[in-house]
Amino acid sequence: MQPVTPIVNGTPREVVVEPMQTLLAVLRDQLGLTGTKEGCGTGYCGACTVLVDGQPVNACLYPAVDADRRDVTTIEGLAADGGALHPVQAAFIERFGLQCGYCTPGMILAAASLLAENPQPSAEQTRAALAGNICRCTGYQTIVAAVQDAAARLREQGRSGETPGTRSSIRSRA
Amino acid sequence: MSTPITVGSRRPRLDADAKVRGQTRYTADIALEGALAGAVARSPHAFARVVRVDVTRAAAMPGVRAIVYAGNTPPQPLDFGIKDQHLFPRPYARYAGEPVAAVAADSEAQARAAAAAIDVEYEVLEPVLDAQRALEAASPLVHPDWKSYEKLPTRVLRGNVCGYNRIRRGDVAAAFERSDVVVHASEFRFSPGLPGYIEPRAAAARRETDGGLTVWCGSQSPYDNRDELAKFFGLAPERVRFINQFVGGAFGGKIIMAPEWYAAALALQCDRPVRMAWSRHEDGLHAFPRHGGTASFRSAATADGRLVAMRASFIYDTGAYIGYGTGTALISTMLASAPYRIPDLDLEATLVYTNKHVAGPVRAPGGPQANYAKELHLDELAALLGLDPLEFRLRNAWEDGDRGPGGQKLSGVRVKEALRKAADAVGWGTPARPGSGRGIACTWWFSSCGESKARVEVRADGTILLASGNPEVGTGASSTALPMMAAEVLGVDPARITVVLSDTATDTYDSGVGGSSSTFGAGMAVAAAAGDARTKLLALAEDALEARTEDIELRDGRALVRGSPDHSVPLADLARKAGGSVTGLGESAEQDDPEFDESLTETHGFASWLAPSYTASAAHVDVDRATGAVIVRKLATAQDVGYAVNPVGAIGQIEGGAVMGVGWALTEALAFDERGHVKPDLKDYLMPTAVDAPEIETILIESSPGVGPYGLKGVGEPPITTPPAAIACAIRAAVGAAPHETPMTPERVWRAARQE
Amino acid sequence: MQYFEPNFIDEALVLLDRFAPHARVLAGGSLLGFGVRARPSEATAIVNVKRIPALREISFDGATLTIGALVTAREASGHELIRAHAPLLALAASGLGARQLRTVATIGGNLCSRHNAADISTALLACDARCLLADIASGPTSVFAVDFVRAQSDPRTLLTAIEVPASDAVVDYQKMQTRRAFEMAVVGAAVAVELDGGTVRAARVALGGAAATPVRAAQAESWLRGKPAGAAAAREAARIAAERDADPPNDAHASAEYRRQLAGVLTERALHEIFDLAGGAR
Repeated sequence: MQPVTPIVNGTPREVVVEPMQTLLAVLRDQLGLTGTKEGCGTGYCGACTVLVDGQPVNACLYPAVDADRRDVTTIEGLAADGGALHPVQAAFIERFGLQCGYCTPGMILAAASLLAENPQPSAEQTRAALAGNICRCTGYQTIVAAVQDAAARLREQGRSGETPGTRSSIRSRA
Repeated sequence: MSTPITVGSRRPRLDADAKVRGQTRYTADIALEGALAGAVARSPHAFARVVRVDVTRAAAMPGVRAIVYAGNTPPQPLDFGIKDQHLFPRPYARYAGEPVAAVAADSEAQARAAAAAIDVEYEVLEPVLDAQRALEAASPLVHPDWKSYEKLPTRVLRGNVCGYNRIRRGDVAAAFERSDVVVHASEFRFSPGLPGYIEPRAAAARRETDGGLTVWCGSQSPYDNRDELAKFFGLAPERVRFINQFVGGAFGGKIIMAPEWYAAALALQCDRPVRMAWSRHEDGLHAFPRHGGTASFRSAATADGRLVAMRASFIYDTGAYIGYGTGTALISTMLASAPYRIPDLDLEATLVYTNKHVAGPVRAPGGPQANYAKELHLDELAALLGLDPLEFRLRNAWEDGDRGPGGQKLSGVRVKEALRKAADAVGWGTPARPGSGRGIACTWWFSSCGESKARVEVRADGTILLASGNPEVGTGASSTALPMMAAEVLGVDPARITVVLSDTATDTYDSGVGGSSSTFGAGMAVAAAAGDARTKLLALAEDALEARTEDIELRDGRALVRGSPDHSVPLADLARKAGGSVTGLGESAEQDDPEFDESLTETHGFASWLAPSYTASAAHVDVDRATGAVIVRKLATAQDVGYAVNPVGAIGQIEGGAVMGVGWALTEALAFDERGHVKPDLKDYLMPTAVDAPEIETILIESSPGVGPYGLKGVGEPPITTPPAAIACAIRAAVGAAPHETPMTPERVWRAARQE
Repeated sequence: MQYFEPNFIDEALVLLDRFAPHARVLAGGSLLGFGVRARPSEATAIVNVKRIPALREISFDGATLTIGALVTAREASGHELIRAHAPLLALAASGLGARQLRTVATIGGNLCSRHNAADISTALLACDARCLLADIASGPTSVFAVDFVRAQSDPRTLLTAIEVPASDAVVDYQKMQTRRAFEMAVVGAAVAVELDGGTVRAARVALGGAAATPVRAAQAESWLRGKPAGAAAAREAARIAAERDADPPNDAHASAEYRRQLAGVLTERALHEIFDLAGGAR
């Protein structure tokens, strides 16, 4: 059993994990952060996408031991303190980028991390960056529109390049 | 009726905020204090007689609290019209993955270890893995005791055949003999597919101290599930409560109970709740796939392109049990010749048992299959006649006054309009580069009115509660369209309405999501309930405002005298006057199916379609002849929706259905190995990514009202019925031929193109 | 199951030796996770090598680019030294799986998967890459990547780095997938051509998915030597690669015949791109 201390949504959380325990299991079962979903458990759907040091990973494959002292951003940590939605979240609502919502947390984080690296992605670049997130409901068109809108809004707010989740230090519910 | 204000407007989903924050609870997210973990032991054999189940060793293992199997659960069969299935094998296990027992233990690891330790003695039998072979006289029987099964009189059951229907009109044989016609025949094969919802199935159950049972799940039909479960376990229905959660996609795969059964069976044998959240892999071991099968088409047309006769025959592999498989066969014969005027018809469909997974009513059962075969076949015929595929369709398409396959009289037909609009959207007629092509396909579909009840409560504290039994599976029908309808009637902002969905404790029965029915039946119930509340509110307002009902309107949360906006009273005050709340109740009304001619049909039962809708899709594809790679550049769907109560929802269904159709057409195949073991993991079952998804254009046709509220028609299923066919036809246009087997993988496209 | 986080290569080697054959190297974790969760009893020790900084170093000494085995696909696709001196690797890495996988998948892990169509392996074969191996008994050794992917994996051995010789080759990577993204290749062709003006000095053609392992199309390469860069050479070289160098398997994903077709088409397209880029196409 290994003690590890990931910094989850801005807050260090000490947990004890088995060697091959996944970050997904730790987030959901030990930290009560159920916003991150399991869709396939094998890295083929992206529903479990979280950001580690700002980069998207499949939490269902990511060894929890490797998250020690790293920044882990989950969907719960994206909105700002006080609850104001991140522009990507707001755009998903306004552009109807979701239906059942199950792929949505992973999709939003993947999109937010794309925009941090590429503040003005083309539709093609957006689709390529989201290729690891399967959506069965929407057909992706509204998702791409939402990401383009969010990109514009972030640029307007002077937030291009901002690492997602850094306006939040929300303590996770446990 | 005045122009709607809320209904018909484009507004964000009411459940979207919680969803983008990750706050929405799906079944696996529920915290359940003290819950045990459940695990299922499954047959490793496609066909076996279970000789003995010995749970002694497993029961002694650490943490084990309960084990259920045939030996300690009720023996009666499940009833899907043919009583061919039991909760656990009695004594046959008929597909690889069929549950044989289930265990509840303190931890999931302990439950799985114990499930693996259950000693099951199997007599392994030769499985039937091919539908064609299953029809041969010498084939082993999947149900050796079929003759003893109780069934509805309308069902056909004979050896390995568990469904058959036929539609006939005129004299097809004579028509094929005519000297002035061109006859063309083609055969097709479809792979089974998966619904592909991103949320794997999950359920939890808890036995209550009063002997009742609570079940948490994400079902499409929680009330019917509740009734079935209660009956099976001998519990009064009102003592069983199904609390449905938000569902992460369903598409017809979450109608029949699965983890609900085992969680409930275990919970009834212990005093702690039991939770069962399946992995994708396990969900696939139990899944209810879309039917695979074969079809053969033969049709005849005159030189000037008029269709005169068609014979079509479908054979569907329905798997080990009948489940909800019947619809696929019934719908296929109603689609095979539609929406075209063809005087002589002979259409039949057969359902065949095999030792594979129970095929289910996946979104538009039979829709993509029948349309892919029919439309590609007709394009080939059109090519023989030297006719443009669009022109060929326009020449034969139904118009008002024509008769459907079952003889019903058609009105409000929009086939030609849908065809023209879809064709325009992809630039039909403009020259295509080599390797590029356009295809078009059209069909019809039914609306159905689910049975539904609703309750609206306007409360003194200013809140408005809407209770409906219709679950929210993702479409937005229940979370958003229903409150929009209530809001329209009550004159409030829909965001003010608190929606309680599909908790059987609210006693608002709903027959479930499926068959393009939600907004129809549930919408009717909600509109009626809101109307009932409105009537009561107006009566109270009469007193409060000292005005006549006909001069009062409800707007912005108030009752006001028309023309004197200051002369008003908030609805909350009216509720206070009424003692705290004003309650309205409503239910859907049964709809009469159109008259049809039963003499045209044989054991059909679905030969008349209520408020039919018409859909056409056009596709523009590029095909790389050397590799067979297909890029769908654009997919346009024109759909006759009657009236779009929630336009965003309708467009969402159409866009989502288009991409689901791209997947079924090009990359999705549920594979079984030679021993009947399924490979359901997402590395093998390839659903479209954002890169695979084309540009989609949606054209809503709202000029032909149906009989649902505001004239709406069913919206959820038509969107997947035509895109695969349009893509197949576009591939044929691009390289001269399209594969006659789905999915039309690059290798299959390469081979088809080579033969040209 | 025991778990270790060595900080030095030698520490890791001692552990691999002590617990052989049941020690498992944990790199990115994508593949190991499945194996261990499916068959937990088979691994008695997990050796997480990600705390060994030496395994993620990237350096170039003028003649050889050395890439630590733990360099991720994401890092490889963006690193200026790799883009300059192993552009095929950068290309292949940029299309590996999806973004989530590229964040964690390592060059070493992809090579060690020994999948016959692994993008990284195929690309490295065409780079004439060498694999640097270490084990406690024999000290560091190096083998050509083309031999490494064919050999049985040795549980005592640690792949520490990959070496790519400097080259002025023009490169291209062509990959055919069932879906348009997120897939392992059905067949991939990684090609590097050194040109003297309009003539081929040397060519390296590696094929993934066209044999039991990724392979070099030796006969096609040999034929290309000295040929004028152009469409005719591309076509003929591709034909030789498909007909003589490919020895494709028949499986559920694709038939041997189709794989052979792809081997030819993708090789030809890669050569076309290369000749166009170098200005030699006619």
